[in-house]
Amino acid sequence: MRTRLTRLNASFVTLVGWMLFLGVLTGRPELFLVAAPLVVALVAARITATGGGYAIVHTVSTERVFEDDPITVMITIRAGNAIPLLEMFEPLSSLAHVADRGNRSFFALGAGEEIRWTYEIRATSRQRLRLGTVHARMWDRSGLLVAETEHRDPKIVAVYPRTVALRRVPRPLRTQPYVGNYVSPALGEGIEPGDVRPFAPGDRVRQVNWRATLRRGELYVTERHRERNADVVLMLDTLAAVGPPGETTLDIATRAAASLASAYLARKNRVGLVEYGGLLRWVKPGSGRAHTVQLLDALLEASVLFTYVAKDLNLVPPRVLPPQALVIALSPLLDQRFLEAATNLAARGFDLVVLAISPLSAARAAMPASSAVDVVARIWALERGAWLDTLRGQGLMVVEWDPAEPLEAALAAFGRRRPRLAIAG
Amino acid sequence: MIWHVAAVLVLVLVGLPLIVLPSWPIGVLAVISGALCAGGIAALSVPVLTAGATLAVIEYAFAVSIADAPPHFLMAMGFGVALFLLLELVDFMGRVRGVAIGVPVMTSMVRYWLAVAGVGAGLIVGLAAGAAAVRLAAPIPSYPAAAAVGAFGAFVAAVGVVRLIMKSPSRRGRGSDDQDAVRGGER
Repeated sequence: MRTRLTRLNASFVTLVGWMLFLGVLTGRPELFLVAAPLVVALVAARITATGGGYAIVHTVSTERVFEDDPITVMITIRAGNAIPLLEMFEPLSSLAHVADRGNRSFFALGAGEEIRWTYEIRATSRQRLRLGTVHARMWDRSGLLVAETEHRDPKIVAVYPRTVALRRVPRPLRTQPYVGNYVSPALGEGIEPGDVRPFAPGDRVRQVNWRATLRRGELYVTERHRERNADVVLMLDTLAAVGPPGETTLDIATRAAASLASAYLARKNRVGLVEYGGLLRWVKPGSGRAHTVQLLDALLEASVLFTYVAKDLNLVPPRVLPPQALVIALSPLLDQRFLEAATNLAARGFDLVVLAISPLSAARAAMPASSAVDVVARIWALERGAWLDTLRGQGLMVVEWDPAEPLEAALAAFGRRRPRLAIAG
Repeated sequence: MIWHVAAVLVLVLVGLPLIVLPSWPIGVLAVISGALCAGGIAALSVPVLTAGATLAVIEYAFAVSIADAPPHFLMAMGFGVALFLLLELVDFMGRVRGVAIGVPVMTSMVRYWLAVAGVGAGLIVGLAAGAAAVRLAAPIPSYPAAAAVGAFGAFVAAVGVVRLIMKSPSRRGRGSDDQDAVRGGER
């Protein structure tokens, strides 16, 4: 702990100096007397100064949250000796803010007294929020001396991209052999009625279609479509991003990816992630709660790493990018290399849909408002619209999403253009 | 409430010299000093306030030396106490700016300020009384000796204060580090 004199101390000494100087100069006793309270304060500060010992315990309510979820920080302070005035401050990341009470506070503690200081924070963007560094200042009552120290008890809170509940998501064209929620064209055990055919040995009685049997005079059975799951691979563009910190197109893309992953995993599908950027990173398709956390952790780490090298998706193993998988590309389409990779996938027969995140609002948020910016934004929007139409004309399924609109509204556009029945895998 | 107290203290600080000598030069100094003090309070800046307070001290020195009236110890006491309270108050307000302060903290601070102001006022009364006693009791030829004793006392006091202020704070620091170590073990 480092003790130092404060500005107030310098101020007191200056004023006492002036008083004594003027007292000598004018020969008036009043000027010596007016210095008395300041001198008493200076002397009292030195005499009464004691190094008040204390112990602090720092706890955080959770280790994992989604964006904008509350995190409660509790700091327990137990004083050894009496502390006249203790100032505590815990700095926060610029992407987090105090939601309730404050991250700076003052306390007066008696000897052996214990107090609990709690406050609530919210992280506005995905990050690994570092907490546990508390700066402490022990003031003497007069404010003439201060002792400073820093307590480190590192805590890292993973702040995942927030998700929205999606009722409808793009249907995969092909299904996998495992049981799921999609009606497969393949016939077998299921709920959805399929063809009616003559009875064959091995068919169950409950499969008999009595209406057809009575009409045709021989036994007929109803076949049913299997319900199967699908593999979904979310392909995240980390080549380029625009927008203010915490609200970049990549942040928006990770939120959309997290929402899609949650929705597909809830429908018993396997979900994987490919981060296409300066580094090619992936999470192979899987399901379950642990896999959800793995995906969210990967989305948490996603960041733009600039490179001139275009990564080859052939490097991605087939178990990560299965040929039957539905690939959802999330990209602001700012870098041509991502579009080339996506087109390559579509040409190789992958079931590919591109969710083009509009960078306009994010880019405008990062720039000062002006009429020139308005004009540029309009021209950019027109050019981008025309370019996306060209891509659609080339057979690529692209839907543009303005982040100001609900994600589900953009995803509904995929639903209108895709067949109801998936192709058997 | 706290702003009102600060405003009253500034009025006391710049007003007392005007009571001693109501004249326009002192008035001009009072206005400048008051403006600086007000600026210091508004910005919660101790340096600006110190500049204003220094000007107020100069104003007071001019007033008492030009007026050349017998020493008024009550006025000196009021001036000194007001100056101390104003500096402490503004410094405290600056330190706790933007933070909600609990009643125990505020009570403890007010108690301390009043205690120091009381001791300071008592010291002024004691010094004034001592000076009056010396003046009445000691014969005129002993005045040089009394002045020499007083000068020596002032020198010793000044050296003591300087030593107290300049005393290396590292000893306290080491003590607190030891307490940190204890704290670390408790986690």
